[in-house]
Amino acid sequence: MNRPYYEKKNMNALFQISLNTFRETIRNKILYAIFFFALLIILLSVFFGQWSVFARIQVMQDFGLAAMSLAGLMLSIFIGVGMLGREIADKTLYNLLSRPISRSVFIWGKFFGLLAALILNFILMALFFIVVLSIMEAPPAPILLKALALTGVEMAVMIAAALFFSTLTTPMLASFFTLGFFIAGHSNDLLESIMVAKSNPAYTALLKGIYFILPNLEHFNIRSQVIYGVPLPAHWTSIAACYGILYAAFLLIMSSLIFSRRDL
Amino acid sequence: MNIIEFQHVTKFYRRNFWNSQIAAVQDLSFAITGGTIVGFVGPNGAGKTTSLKMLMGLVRSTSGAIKINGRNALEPQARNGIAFVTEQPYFYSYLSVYESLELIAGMQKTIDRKKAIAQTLEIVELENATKKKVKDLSKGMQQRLNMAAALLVDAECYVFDEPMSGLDPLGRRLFRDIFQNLKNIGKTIFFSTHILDDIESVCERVIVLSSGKLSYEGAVAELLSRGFLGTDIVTTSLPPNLISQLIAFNYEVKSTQDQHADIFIKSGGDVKACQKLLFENGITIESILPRRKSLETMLYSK
Repeated sequence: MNRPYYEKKNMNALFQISLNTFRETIRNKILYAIFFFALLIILLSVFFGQWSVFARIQVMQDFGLAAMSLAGLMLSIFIGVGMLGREIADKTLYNLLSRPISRSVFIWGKFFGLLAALILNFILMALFFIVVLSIMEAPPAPILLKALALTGVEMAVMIAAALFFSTLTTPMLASFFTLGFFIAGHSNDLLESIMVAKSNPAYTALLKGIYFILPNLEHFNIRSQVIYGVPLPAHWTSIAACYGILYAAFLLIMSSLIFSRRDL
Repeated sequence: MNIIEFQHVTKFYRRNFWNSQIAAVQDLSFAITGGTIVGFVGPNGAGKTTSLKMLMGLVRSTSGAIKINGRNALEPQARNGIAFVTEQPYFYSYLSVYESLELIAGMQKTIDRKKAIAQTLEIVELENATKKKVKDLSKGMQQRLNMAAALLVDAECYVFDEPMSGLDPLGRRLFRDIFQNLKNIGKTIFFSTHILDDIESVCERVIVLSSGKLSYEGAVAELLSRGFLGTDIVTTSLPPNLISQLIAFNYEVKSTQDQHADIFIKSGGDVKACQKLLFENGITIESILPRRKSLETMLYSK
């Protein structure tokens, strides 16, 4: 069989798996539950803003961005982790993987389908947020759009992490690991400060290893800059986005390698 | 050319971290050539499904090699000319019959997807259920959809894992016809089953597994001839003098309650001489049937 034909076939498979995953995700009731939960938080931020001693718009922006980041985490845990686990438990992947399709195509297809559905969901949440802000006479500044874009990139990293952990272990453990990954990813700066404070070289090397393996999800969090109007360093958004995409790709490559060796 | 080849394949499973490994398949070697229907038989837990999963790249063997058309079965490209039907139909419950087949057709180079799906649905007699959700189909209908998914691929070899389980007699007949039609156009069929009747009526060759090991491989006809015990001739009632004559020829004679007699001629006995004797005495022969050991006895007895 010639190579271009095989590659075309793999592209077809990638598209079909992505499409089917997208279809499956948008039929998932959890998606709507989390979506409406995020919308509710965004709406409530209007009232929280009124009661706050800080500027109302700043509180709204803080709440809105945090709600969307949290929604991304919940979606990647509840939908991302469950998706692969369910495929394995229900054996629906037998029908696909017994065909001339590599397991990495399956993993990437799942990722793209899930990402497309969750990004669509995220865009709708972001539009709602922007509309609410506009009604409150605070049209979105360019930095807010950058913050939203980086939250989207963080969501992609979290979906890749959810898939990675679900190739390794049971859905329950994978959910805990994904949550731990999120918390550790947002605490990575803390590790850096501990490294500076410690003088033991072995301990520092261990912390350095963890620091470089774990992602720094704080790169995607520019809420403070949005709220206080602090300008971002040059090219921050594009560098952070590239970092996120590369990290997600790394996780997916690892997931493919692990999944390729797994007995189904 | 061998389409499928198992070379000293062994698979060990570990039930959990603390338990020792158990062997599902041990040193299994066989080969399947093109254009034949081969049955894969064995009792529950013999290792049939594990072997088929290893063939389809769903499970990795602990040692040995599995080849499809000379390629390592773990390479996705090796599965290019092979279609697999699982024991249970594993489809996405939220998809319709048509959507399920569209998903599969979309993964391969199908020139006219709609036409291919329509033709396949007609073969498995599901053309009136295209819009039905998979979750609303009966077990038999899901099994037909499973078959349709395999037929959608223009494969050189079709591998079925217990394809007829859950089918009614009509469904079984349909599947047997499909096997025969595939055979007639030169396709290779390799299927596992518990139902030995299917082996006798459909297969040319049989591979028997017992406790993960190969216990027999060969032609079904040869296997059946090995178990040939003799011939039963059923006649109308026999006069006593004729019974004495038949016994003198070393035939076993039994009178049945419905005014019939059953003459048994052991393997190697002269059936024609017996027929001639009956004819000369004006006896009507109602049936002549071979008597043999059941396939179960031949395949599973140690």
